[in-house]
Amino acid sequence: MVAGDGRTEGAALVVDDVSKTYRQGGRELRALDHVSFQVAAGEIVALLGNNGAGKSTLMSIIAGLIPADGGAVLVEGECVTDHGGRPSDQLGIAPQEEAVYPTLTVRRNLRYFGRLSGLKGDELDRRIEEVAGHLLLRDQLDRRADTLSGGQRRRLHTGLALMHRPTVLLLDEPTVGVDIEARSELLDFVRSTAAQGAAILYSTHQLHEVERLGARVVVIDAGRLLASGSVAELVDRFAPPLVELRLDRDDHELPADLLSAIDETGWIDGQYRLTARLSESTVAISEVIEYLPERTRAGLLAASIIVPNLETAYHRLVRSTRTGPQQLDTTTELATP
Amino acid sequence: MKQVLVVARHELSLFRGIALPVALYFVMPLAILAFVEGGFDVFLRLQDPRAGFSGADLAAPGQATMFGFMSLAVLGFLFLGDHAWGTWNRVRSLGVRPWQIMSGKLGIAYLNQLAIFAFVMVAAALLFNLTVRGPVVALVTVELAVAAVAIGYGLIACAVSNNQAQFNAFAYLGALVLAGLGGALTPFDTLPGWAQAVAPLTPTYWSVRAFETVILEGGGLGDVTLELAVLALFAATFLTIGTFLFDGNKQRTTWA
Repeated sequence: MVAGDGRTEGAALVVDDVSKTYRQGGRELRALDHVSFQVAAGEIVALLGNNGAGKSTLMSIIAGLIPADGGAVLVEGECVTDHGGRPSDQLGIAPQEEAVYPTLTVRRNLRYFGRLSGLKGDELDRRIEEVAGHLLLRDQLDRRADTLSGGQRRRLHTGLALMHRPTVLLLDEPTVGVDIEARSELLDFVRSTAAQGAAILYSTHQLHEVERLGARVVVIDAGRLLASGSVAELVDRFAPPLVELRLDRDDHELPADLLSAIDETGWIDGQYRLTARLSESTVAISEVIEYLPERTRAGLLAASIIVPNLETAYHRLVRSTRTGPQQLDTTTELATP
Repeated sequence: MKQVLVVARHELSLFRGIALPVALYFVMPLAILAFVEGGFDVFLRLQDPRAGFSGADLAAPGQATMFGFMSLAVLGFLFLGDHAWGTWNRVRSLGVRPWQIMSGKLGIAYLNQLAIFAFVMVAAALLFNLTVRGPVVALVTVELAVAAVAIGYGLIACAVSNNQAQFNAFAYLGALVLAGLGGALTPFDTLPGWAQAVAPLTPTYWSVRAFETVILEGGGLGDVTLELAVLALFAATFLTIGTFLFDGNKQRTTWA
């Protein structure tokens, strides 16, 4: 497990040993269990986790909306978990659930949040134009929010968090329902916002977005922090490259060193599929291709190298945590049909 | 205070967004007045045939007060709407405290109460020969107190309601019961004995008494001191109870 990467003080957002338990009807649900990480100014950190992992609870605690049971959250050095939760004016949040005023126009929605943040006059008008421009909403400024498409409303929802130029931005699944073009623009905007110095905590289920954003990754599951690091680090650690062989039967005899690196086996579409970790095998794929027809009765139908990505690493990490970390390293058990 | 004003200004925008239902609370008292004014007129003539009272003198402030209470449903719609739309927490995440949001909302609801009263009284004067015999400042002062009571009542409704159905029950049923018991629906003297006995426990009784003193008897501020004091006490009590019960973290929905 990669966790607690020992970042130094001075981070824009510090989540330090935060815990939260919900109690309902005599039952206790541990939503967060001693979670710690930091986000530096100018950095994008992707918060990954399945539904119910604790992401939204964490976002709400960071936003000062619900109290933590233990630990502390610092936004620009200011503790927001004192006295049961105290929102910081340095922070902007676009929560998972869409939150806009449906009966008001886009402009009035943006104006209200701008005014609450202390903007007024020309500065407020300029900021409305700026945010609407970045989120491709300039042509919709005078339309009521309830007449917008789902994607447009989602962008307005994100825009409300940006009006006061927060230095720490929490975006909880901002691209849900957003079309391809607008999603691309939105991701570019997130990157440019970070480039201007904002610390961004970005929760999503779209792992390709994380790769595109070049974000550092924090993975939580069942309220616990499982791993943190760059996409490359997580992929290297949890998802080494694989060689995939497709055979016409499973009565094969494979080289011992390849067998020890076998990752998964199983039947798919009438073919026997076998994957092995390339980095752990000293056998070249070309040798396997030559070797198989000579030594086994199994016919090789296809051979390919699977280049791993964040999604592969994420699935393996979460699965290994649930089934026990030893599964990651015990290939023989997985290889046994 | 600045945040309260921003919220209030925004609340006004939301009121404008639902102008038609809001307007109903202005028009409906006049429509009802058209039906009941005759009955009140007969009652007043029986009391004093030569006084030259109009039925609207007695009925108009009662109708304005009752519909003022009913208009709290708009406050409820926008308050619960903030929860259903997700904007309650969204605004709070900007550092705006629940009391600041509620102050802005209640401030506009208070102005709405005053506006309904002013509209009904002016329209009743033009359409139904309402005549205010006492000083206008006394009438306005009484209404300021009555509106404060309504707002306190609205705050309690916000505090205890989890959804719009509960809020509406609180606003409408409460308004009808308070209006009925207080003598705003029918002249107080025509109420059954038990209702007359419990009427002083309602704020509407004191408001009707104060309005009668100013409008029918030409009384000034000095003549309604007791009524104003009791109304102020009701307002303070309601606002205190509402503040005590109000939980800004409570989960609420619009319809269910």
